[in-house]
Amino acid sequence: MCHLVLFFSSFFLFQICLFAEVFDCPYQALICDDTPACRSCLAAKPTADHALIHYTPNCKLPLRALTRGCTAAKGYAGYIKYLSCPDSVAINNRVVIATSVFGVIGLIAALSAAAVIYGYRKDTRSLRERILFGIMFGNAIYSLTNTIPVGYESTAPESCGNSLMASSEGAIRGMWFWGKYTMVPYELFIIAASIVTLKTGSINVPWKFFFDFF
Amino acid sequence: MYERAAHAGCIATGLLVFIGFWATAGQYNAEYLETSSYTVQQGLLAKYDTLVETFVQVWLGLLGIMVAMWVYQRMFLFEGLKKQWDTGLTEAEEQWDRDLWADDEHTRGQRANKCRLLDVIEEGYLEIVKPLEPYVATYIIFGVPAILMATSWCGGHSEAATPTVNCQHLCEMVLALRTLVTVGVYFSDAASREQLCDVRKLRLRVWHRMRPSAGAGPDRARHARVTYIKEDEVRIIPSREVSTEDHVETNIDISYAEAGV
Repeated sequence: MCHLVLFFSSFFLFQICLFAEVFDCPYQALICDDTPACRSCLAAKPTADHALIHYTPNCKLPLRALTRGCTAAKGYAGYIKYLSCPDSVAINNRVVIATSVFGVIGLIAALSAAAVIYGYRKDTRSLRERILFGIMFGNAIYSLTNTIPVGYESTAPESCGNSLMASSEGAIRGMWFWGKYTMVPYELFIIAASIVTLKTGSINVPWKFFFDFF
Repeated sequence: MYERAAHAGCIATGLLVFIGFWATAGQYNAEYLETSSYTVQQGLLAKYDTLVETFVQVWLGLLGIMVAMWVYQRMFLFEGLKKQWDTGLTEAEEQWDRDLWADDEHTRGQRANKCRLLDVIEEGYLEIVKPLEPYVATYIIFGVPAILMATSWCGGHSEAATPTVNCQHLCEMVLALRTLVTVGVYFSDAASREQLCDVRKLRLRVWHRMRPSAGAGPDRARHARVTYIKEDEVRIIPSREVSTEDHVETNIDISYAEAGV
């Protein structure tokens, strides 16, 4: 019936249809089966007593109406069944945790190297150490970013693959780029300083650094 | 001053990239949360992926420039210099007798200047170029997973909907090791390693340098020096080229140098 209602798309009848949705969980499953985006989330064609769902993060929005309808409707508590989360998600989580551990170790290591340069005043004596101090700074930011397991995903069947830190993804990825984009100019600085040294023998940055470089 | 500008440029580049990326991604995220349209959400996700891809590709472009410059420096400039050093040595040996008999001041002066210049360049090479080469090599080696990460193949194996091991996560894990390798290169130097292992001395040194009162007034400065010497039992030797205000700090530096640091 609801199909017909939608077909005629009268505002009044549409309201009735929405009202019907609350009660008719299997009907929502049929509507889902009619929508391509939602159909891709169904593991099999929905039946009268269950709808088998293969959840991926892309299913969050298409399945919203179905899950809401089945939660609100009485007697349909077990109507939606989820396939278990694939092993790859758990493996990915392990990789993310490993990255995080490397990040912690890397952060400590980079700060230690920076502390040695700073504490022993090596930066006041040599251009090389000053550049290395900058590189350690970039590495510290990069490692700090790696410590945050932003790629960690849920392994629960009903939210399989959903990122647990999706809202902070932008900031953390931005920090990741901060580290990367700090290190690459320092690497260019190393090469530029090396070229000037090989051309002139200078071990600092003279005023005509860029002229010497070219 | 020019060096400070270069350092500031390096740090500012990273910071600007962070702000730029964060602002754009934040805007996409806000739009994503506001909309209830599946198509719009997918469009925003695609936009975000394109943003990440663009930032990675620009970074790879910079990496490419770095590699090209390194090839120029290593293959052309350094090889040319090596030839000059070898030629200079041969010339010096061959013409030693002739110069002595010829007694040509001008020729000898020229040759001496050239030798001096080559010596200076060699010193510079040993001070800057050679010790920094392993860091460049590390960066180039770790450029491989970064390039792999930017490929569409890896992108295809990183989609949340695909039940495969995430290629980008793997690349990120490998890239996380770069810091460890970089620091490992730094501590491959025995002296630096010793400095790190003496944690107490390192802590004191960092503390002394960070402390704002160091050199602020004669009494406090003297106190700082005495405390330090008592703790570490390091002998003070006369300082060189010291201004009055950094007298204490310089003493400490030299005393460390004396202690074999």
